[in-house]
Amino acid sequence: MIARQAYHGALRSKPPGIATMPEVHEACGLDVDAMYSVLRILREAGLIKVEGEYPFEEIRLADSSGIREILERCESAAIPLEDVVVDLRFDLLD
Amino acid sequence: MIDYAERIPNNVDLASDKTLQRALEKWQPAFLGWWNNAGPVESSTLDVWLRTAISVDKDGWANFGYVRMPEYRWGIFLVPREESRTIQFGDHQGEPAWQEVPGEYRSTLRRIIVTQGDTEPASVEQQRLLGATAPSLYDLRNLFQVNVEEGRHLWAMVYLLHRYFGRDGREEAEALLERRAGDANNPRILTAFNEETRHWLAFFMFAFFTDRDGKFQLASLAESAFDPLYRTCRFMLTEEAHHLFVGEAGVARVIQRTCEVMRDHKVSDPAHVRALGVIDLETIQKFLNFHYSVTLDLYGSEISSNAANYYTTGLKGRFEESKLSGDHKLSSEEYPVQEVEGNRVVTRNVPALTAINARLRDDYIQEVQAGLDRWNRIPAQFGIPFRCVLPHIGFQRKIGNFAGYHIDPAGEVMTESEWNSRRYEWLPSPEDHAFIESLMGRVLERGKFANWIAPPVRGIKGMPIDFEYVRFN
Repeated sequence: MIARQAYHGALRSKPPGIATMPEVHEACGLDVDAMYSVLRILREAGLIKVEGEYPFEEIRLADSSGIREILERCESAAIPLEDVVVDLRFDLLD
Repeated sequence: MIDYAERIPNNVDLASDKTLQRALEKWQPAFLGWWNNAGPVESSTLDVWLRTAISVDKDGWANFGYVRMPEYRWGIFLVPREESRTIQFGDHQGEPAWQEVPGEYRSTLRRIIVTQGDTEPASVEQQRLLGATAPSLYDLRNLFQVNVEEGRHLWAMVYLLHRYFGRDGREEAEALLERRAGDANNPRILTAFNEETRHWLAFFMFAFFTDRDGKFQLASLAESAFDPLYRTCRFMLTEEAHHLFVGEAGVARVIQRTCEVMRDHKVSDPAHVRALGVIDLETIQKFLNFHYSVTLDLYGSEISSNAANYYTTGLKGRFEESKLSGDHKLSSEEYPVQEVEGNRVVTRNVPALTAINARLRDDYIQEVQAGLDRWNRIPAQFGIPFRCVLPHIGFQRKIGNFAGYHIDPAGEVMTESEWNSRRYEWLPSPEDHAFIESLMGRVLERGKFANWIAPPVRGIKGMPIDFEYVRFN
């Protein structure tokens, strides 16, 4: 979901590759506290970077995460990103 | 998946129950009539960038696109049934969750569902005029998103009434469309849902404080032994999360803008801050005091035999009951509850079973405090010493242990006359409301925001956000 918002979100004036809190929050369906907890875990795992101050945080996918490439391959193959990432089904991209 | 080919989108196989389908299709035009008469004014021709639920599972639960609100596909969405789900608490702990309503709990459960359902259209009615003073297209769109989803939540409760409560349920479903927020002759059931939402600060505060009570009530109902209620509330919570964000982010943006002006103009006196066209922090605190205290009353009396009964019978659990360890019958546990003794507030331990409301309220307070802690980062970033503070739980209360007492935000018990002489130190005065209303003016230009609120994001190189969230045709 963060990947989708980073590259396709609705707030057009932001640079590509950034997901904003309003977009992420609305799309994920989590409570504010729960969202911040998940973001902390993803940040500590090195998958995302959170920049800026509350309430204007911006979320970037870490360069090392490889998620952007996975997103692009999923879109070209018309495979839902979630099918690959959530269940770790990278074989679907073969 | 949700079947959008049906006249009433649903994932409950409505088509297989023709009697129920016909009943709901008969209620549907009444609902649309209510929306047109009591919903957002002058909004029927607007194209609004809205999210619509498409699924209740992990494969992406919502789509975003332009919709005219009367054409929004309100429907009935439950999370999938778990065949092995058992009752987690109370006298029936361990038994299979109920798929039908046990006769002995029928009237109680119906009353619980009606009370919850009544709050959904109420907030739409309270907020129906706000579109005329929206501070931006972004905020206007958020308001409408909240409104359509509260309408969807009404559908959720009406489905349960129709499906499981027969003629009584159908009559209650009709009555839900007849009551009106603030109507002296036919008001909404709960006091907080008859209060006016006069301006956007009130809306953001309502969404942060009062919608959050909704979340906690839904969460406790989502523990219910009655499985369809559990499945309904689970999905409603997913939608409700964004409403809470709208409130929290809205207040945060107001605080942000005020702090920016205070810094740029080197002012701190509320009168000087107001003169620059923003809302002073002291006034924000007053609205916090009001909305928080009014919402606390929604939790009912601290000591409640009704709440104990709901718990014992499995109808309504504690917040995150399924995740709690320990005794799920509460036969011997105690819980601390505050009350007034003489001229001071004291704490005493009572049987936990009788203090279910107090516990749910305390869970709520914990979460609200976390939101305030986030708000308080903003003045701290600007070096402004002001901090938002929750008033004492006994402040301005009309229900429960503190009803009838006059307690200030610090928790001091005082006489009625002294409290009344100081009330506008703590609560919004008519002049405070008038000042805020004087700031309210509709901003419809793409990328523009009213002076009293910061944009939600920074945009690229200082450029505004210019997405056309609402199209005026």
